[in-house]
Amino acid sequence: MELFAFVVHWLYSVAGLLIVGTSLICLMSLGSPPRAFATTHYRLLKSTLILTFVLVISGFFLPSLQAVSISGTPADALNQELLTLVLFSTRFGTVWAVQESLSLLLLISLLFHRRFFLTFSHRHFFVWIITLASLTLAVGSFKGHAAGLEPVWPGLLAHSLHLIAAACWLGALPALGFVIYSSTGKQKEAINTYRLLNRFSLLASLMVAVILLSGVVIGYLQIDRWAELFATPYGHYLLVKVFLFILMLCVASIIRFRCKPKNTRNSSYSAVNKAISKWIAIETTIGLVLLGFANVLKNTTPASHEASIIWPFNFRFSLDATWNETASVQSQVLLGMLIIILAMTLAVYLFRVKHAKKYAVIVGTLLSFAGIATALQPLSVTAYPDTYRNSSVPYDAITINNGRQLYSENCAACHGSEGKGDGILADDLDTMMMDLNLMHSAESTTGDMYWSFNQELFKDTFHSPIRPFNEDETWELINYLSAMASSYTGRSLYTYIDPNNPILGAPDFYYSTDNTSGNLKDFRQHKAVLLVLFSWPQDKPRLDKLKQHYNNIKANNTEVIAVEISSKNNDSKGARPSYPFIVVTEQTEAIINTYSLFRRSFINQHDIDAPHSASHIEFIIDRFGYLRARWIPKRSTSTWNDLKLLKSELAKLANEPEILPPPDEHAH
Amino acid sequence: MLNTLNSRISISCFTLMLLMFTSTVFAHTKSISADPAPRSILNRSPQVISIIFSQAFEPSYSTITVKNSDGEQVTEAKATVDTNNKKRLVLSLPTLPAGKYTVSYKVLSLDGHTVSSRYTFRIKKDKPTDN
Repeated sequence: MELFAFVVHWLYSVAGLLIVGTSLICLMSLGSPPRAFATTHYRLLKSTLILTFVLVISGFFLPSLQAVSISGTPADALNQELLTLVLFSTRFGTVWAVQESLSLLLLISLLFHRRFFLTFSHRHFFVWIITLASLTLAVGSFKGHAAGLEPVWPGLLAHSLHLIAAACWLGALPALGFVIYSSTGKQKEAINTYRLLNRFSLLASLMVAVILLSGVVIGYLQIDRWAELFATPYGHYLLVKVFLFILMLCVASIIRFRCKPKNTRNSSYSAVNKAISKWIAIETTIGLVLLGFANVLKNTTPASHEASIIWPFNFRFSLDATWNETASVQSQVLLGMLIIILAMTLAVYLFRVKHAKKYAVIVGTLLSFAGIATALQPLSVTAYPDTYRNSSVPYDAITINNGRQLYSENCAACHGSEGKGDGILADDLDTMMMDLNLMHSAESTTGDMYWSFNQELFKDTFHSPIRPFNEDETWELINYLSAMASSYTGRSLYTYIDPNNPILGAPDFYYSTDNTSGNLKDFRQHKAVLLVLFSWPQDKPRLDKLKQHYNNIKANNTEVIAVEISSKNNDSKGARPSYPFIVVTEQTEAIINTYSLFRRSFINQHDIDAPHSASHIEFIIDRFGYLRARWIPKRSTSTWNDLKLLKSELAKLANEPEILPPPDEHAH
Repeated sequence: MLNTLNSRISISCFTLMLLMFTSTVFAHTKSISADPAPRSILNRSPQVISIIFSQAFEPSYSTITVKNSDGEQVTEAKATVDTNNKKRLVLSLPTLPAGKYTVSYKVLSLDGHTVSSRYTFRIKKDKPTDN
């Protein structure tokens, strides 16, 4: 069934592209009388008709294949209920109906082309065919991967243009080769290949530009991390596709700059055309291989969904990790760029002034590579196969809290509860305990940590956990260590917001009260959050004050979430007044344990290691998911008890644009 | 000559058909937030299961099922799309007793691909919902 689906799908796609390309060549090769419509044209028209039959017939199978794809059961290909659903209740059905109608219209037009020719000119007829076939291709974007993208129009437009441009260039190559080769035979055709080549050359250049631009837009919208290009099968296929595309451009350049100039109006161009058709055949062959990879891509797990990302190199490039390390990094990168500029200048000089094409290519290439190597070398840092591995758990309070438990049971005795290497057993060890707060830096990813734990640390007797960790537990531990490292950075949080400078992603958390439930993340893009960790009944006056000023806080596009720090004094719960904001009093452990990490400040006090040492902390989380300010009443001289100050800080956020995209759900 | 040419073109076209399948493929929808959250522990039965996805999806072929620790489905109700948020799929629940529950969901992306996954949550106390 999979093979059948594969065959039907490619028949459908191939037919669409070839119809556009072949019709385009017919249109472009139409000359002036006397033999405007040559034998070659009739042959191309016939092949277009056959291709349209293929398009229509293969199209009829698509709903059944979609039904099978949805249910995963081949028997559902003829399941009437499912087919009805696919056709009448999904976007696929609507788009398919439009595409199939266009295909039928295309078929009717081609079947009755003689009547068209009586009424309209050949030119108008082919414009009509190209329009219909292009529309059929473009409409398909509405049920393709571009359909779900946001914003929707750039993706749809880029995808449609990508397909149409590919059809105009690649889809036209077989027909172009056929026409050019026909002109070399004894039987002279009326087609002016000189003019055709000129026209196609111009069009192809334009189409290549469109393919490049639309490809960049699609890539920008759909690829999460560029590292996935090198670390996933999908990325590998895509890179091969790009390489073949460049190769095609090289061949096209040979035709354009070497062969075409020899094809003049007055020369006997049979030999030249043979050479051109040979190069077109090569270009077509490369294009076929390229499209083969595009076909494989269709059935490969998308890079951004790949669970296991295996990085193939022992290094990676990182500006964050290297740029500010030493001054020599920046100067070496600058030197590399200068070498590249020199290479390009020298190549142009040799090519244009000295007309030494070979030397221009050799010197230009060698110097460029030298420049690239010089510039990239200082930007490289060590990498591992798991460097870009995706976490199997989200970066949220629940997993951080689970990681905290694992850390307490397995690591805290030596590394200390704050990860400073000052655990109770640390003094008895010969080795110096590292400060885990500095472990997660720009130079290492969470994937590096995962690799290090599984391949190194967990294998030695000293670091091996009490019981083996599964993948989720390893990631939970990493989440906790990442949160710990973030909290180390978060020591700089203060009661004042540093405008336009979000640094720390706020871990997501889930809350549930008698009246409502949800996630912190639900407020993203909508509202900032004032997160109040309070103790009851000590902080009752504070909650009452927030209640009193709640409307003012809301006016600054901010929601209040108050979370009770676990207290032994549970008897007073019954007597609590109601508050207009979210007050979470049950199952708060994960939130408290996670956000208590962020109580650290530069004024390092002894109570830092004590669990729940802070009885009251407040955080401001901006509407893009970043921790921006913090108030610890015990330590701060300025105070959010002064609601004016609090409101002025909230007002800063209300007017602040998005500086960074929302923090990812996984730790990095 | 023409026969040779025709055969070459035929071979080219055939190869093109064999190899060609143009389409870029990338992201389908994925869940970005769920209520109750994965692995969460609740003190009362949730009234609904609500899952927010990264992209809009086909309402007609998108489902949520909830099973208790015995593997029994706790409700026959169908999941519906929030009219105010087309990325949110909601399933109404009856009052559930304490225990561990598995939420399974399957949605059909607008690109025609299905995405499915599952997660668990726990109700710690047997406390009725406040209606």
